[in-house]
Amino acid sequence: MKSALITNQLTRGFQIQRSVVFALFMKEYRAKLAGSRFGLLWSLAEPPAYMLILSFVWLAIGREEILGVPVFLFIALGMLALKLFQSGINTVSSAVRQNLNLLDYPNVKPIDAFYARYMAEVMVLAISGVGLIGGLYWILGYEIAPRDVPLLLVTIILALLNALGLSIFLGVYKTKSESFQRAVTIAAQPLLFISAVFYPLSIIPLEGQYWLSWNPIVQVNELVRVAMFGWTPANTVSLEYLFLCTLVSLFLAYLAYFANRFTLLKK
Amino acid sequence: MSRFLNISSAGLFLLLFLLPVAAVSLYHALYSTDRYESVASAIITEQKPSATSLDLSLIGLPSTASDHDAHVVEQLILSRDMMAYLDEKIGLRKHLSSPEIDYFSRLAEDATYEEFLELYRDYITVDYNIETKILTIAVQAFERDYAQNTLKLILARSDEFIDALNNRMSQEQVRFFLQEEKKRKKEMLDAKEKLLAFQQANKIFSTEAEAQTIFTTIGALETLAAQKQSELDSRAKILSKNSAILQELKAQIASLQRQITAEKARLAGGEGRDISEIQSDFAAVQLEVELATTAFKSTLATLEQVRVEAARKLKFLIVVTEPSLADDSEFPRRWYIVFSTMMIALMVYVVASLVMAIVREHA
Repeated sequence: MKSALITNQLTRGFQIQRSVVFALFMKEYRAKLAGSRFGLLWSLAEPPAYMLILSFVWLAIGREEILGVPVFLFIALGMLALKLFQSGINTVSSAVRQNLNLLDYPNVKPIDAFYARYMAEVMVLAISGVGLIGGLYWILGYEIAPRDVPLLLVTIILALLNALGLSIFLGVYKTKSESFQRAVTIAAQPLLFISAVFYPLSIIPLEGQYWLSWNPIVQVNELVRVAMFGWTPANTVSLEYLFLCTLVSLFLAYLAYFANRFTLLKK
Repeated sequence: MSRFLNISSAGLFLLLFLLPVAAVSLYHALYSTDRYESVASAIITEQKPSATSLDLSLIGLPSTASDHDAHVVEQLILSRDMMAYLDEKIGLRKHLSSPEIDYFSRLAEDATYEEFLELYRDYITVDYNIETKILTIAVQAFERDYAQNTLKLILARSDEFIDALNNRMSQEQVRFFLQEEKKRKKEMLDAKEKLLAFQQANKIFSTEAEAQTIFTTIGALETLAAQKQSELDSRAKILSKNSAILQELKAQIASLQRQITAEKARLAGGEGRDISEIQSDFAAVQLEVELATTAFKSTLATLEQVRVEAARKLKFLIVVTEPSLADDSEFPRRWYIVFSTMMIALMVYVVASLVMAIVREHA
């Protein structure tokens, strides 16, 4: 009897949450479109633009390949992983703050705002990423042939979940505290440099490798390189660590959210 | 959808927490085979070059030369070659696929070489400490003696490898100079041969000595001629012009003058090979000998230097601690594994149940 009730609740709750998230997702999408005429275009163009700028650092010193990989492709892949985490840390986590008026509806829970914005961000990133990699493949004729497709897929899934956990966890406390929000924004600034986006981990001295490897984005980047180009992973790079990071981030995210889910809405 | 969601929270706890933890605990409590670890450490020494131009270790950057060798050895130990060598020497494959070992740790009978290599790398760890430059090698095996023997073989093989590397390096470096030395030696002997032939052909030992003799002769002759001339002058005042003594003296002086002219001709000019010509040829031959000798000497010195340099660059694998014999089985680390499983399962369970609770709150 009780089990049936729970099942019923779950089914109904799932349907409601699905439609709420979908509605919020459409709103996010429309906001991106309406924000300015080229709003969506700008979000799509951001990763390629970053890629070009960072690539010039290498091209300027006369290097067209990084350990046998074209500079553009190398940086494009690193950029996508970084953008995923950056939009999680900066954009997704502010979803509740920017949707407070919608949260008055009893069916809309704060986490739906996170989910919706996360999905919108991931979608933009995915389109932009496919366009970017496709462009490198069709226009520049790069060889895009993953050596280890299962590893690549697992890494991408873990990266997506890790970013989700991180954005919910940060989002909860960013919504609660303004100073935390500012602190996170400042702390996230050097992320580009410590995430092995535009350099391979192996060119760093061993001690530096050890410290950088704590960063899950470094793990994602290096694992993607292992899967895409068949590189030998550094000693400190492992899928197990990324899995643990993901699990811990989700665990903390849901605990933090669950504990604060009512106080979040207090204005 | 509803079938998927048809699960109570107790059921969720059972599925996501109790079941995995119980499975792992039971496996480790009852079934898993003990592994014994043997540990050894080694350093790779290299005599430092006498003068370092720039010592980076002073400013905190590690010098990379010996790191490089350690990584080479690390690669060697984890390589397919080393595994094949161990398999050939002590039947590694047979040991790892022994039926006494539990199913999950065992190497399958029909395992591929790649699977074998993967398992091999699981059971061997090579750690390199950048600070202390110590290479620590640990081998896990299902028998304590076997682990120790494996590690001993690995160390012996690495030692052999370093020695072979040394040999090749020093041979390569010295080889060029050895050839050079041979060439120079031949050149020098040839030049000496030529000098000897020249001396024999001209029947002289040294042109300088020959010239000296002629000078002395000319000097003596000129002194005698001068004496005769003065005697002639003094007698001429007393004696008549046609006296026999004067005639004889005149004849003697003329003869002396002729002899002096002949001697001078021998020294320079005149017909035939005169001594000055021979002198210049002789000097050329002698110079050749001298040059060849100097070149040979310097090559010899360089060869010695290169030999010393090569010896200085020799590397040695020095075993710091010999392969240990495990007293107790440390692997698998059962408590650690069970505890980690519990933590991971707990987190998975919490995440899953919270996600579902959040879904339910929407209803």
